[in-house]
Amino acid sequence: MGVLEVIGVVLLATSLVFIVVLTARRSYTGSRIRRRDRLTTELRPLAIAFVEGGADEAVPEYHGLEAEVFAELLGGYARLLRGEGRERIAAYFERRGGVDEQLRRLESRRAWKRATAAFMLGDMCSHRAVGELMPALGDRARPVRMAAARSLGRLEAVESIEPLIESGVSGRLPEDVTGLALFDIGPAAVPRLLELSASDEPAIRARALELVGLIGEARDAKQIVDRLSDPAAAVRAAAADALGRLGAGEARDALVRALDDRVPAVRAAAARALGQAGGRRAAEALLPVARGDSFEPARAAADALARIDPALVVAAAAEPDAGPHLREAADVVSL
Amino acid sequence: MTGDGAPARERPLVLAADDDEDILGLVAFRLERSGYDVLQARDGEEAFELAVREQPDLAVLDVMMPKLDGFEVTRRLRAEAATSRMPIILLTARAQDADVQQGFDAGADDYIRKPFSPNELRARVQAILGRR
Repeated sequence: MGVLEVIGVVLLATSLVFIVVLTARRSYTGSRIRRRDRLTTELRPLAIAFVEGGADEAVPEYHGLEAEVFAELLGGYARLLRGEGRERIAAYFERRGGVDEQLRRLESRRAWKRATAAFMLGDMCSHRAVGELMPALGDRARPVRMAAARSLGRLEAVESIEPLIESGVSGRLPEDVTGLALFDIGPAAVPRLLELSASDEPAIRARALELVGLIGEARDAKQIVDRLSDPAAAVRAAAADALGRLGAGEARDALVRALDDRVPAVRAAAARALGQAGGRRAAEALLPVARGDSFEPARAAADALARIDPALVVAAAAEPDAGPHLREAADVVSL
Repeated sequence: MTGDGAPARERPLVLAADDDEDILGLVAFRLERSGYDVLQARDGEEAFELAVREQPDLAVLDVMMPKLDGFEVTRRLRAEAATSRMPIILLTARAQDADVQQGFDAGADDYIRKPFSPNELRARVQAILGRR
């Protein structure tokens, strides 16, 4: 038998082995998926009954795939529920060792195990995990950091607000991920965010203000008006945007003054905010900005004016000194 | 028939509609345990058809559903003579004020935000049905 024939036979044998292995693996995976689906359907009623007030003793001691599926069901309900159901889920995982097991996995040398553990701890609703998840925001693996941020939000961990913001500002985590975590914490985050709006670090002040605007309420506005005179332009712009989102009419005078800021981005943010606040005083202040300021503030002022008083925009656009932004806004109003 | 068009029943009938099996299960479990019969729908079209055919005493509708969203189902139910006065609670993850306003504009009576508390759901259903 020549060398080529030997190579051919080896290749053929290898191919056959691959085909057998792939088929077996596919069959195993398919049967595992089917078994998982069947278990999910079977265990769902018990999981619902448990989170809705059933006794812990009524849940058998599951092992293997059953335990995995039941934990997944409870984790899913943790994402859907508020109140007592979450407390039951936390108690279940604490008593049955689920929290301890995931805390141990959070120390694993393998990044995927740490990331999975960080993710699951958020669905176990146990506040015991917060102390271990906060250091995980600085993990060397990005998926672990992201899972930890998500879980801290799910656990409504108020103590993690500053580390979350620092992680976003420093670039260790995408701002969207930290923002979602802070949304999950919700209104409970606002007092700490207001404190951080006076931080020594301008980037943290700006981010905290942005989040106050998104999570806070109109009554929080009076605590951030002073930031319109912050030394950092990014902070002044963030304060103006936040005041606009909060719909704070009482900040109107301060926002009108901000239309004279030396930085165009701040003037544009103040114009947008005045568009939200509304009122005659705002309209009067916006008109000259819409006529003659530089591109960004003029455009924002014209859009804001159109929001407050469309008829005024149409009338002003007919004047010879209207400028392109007022005319454009008038065209949009007329559509 | 009751005074407002829904048939008289021993236990009030509630329609629960959500494409998420887990949420549907939680809502149905809590309502059944609270003394209601529950009809389940998994998309907007099915919810609308069930509501018109069975005329439940109240509907709990998810906003983001396949085929028809909760706003559209609400609008259509309001346009049908048989269901125009049926109380509707929207169950929504869209917590922006504009979405809440859109729900009320469509004709919803109340809304509950996800994640939700089953106790709150029960209390709101009881409050609305108790007023009738």
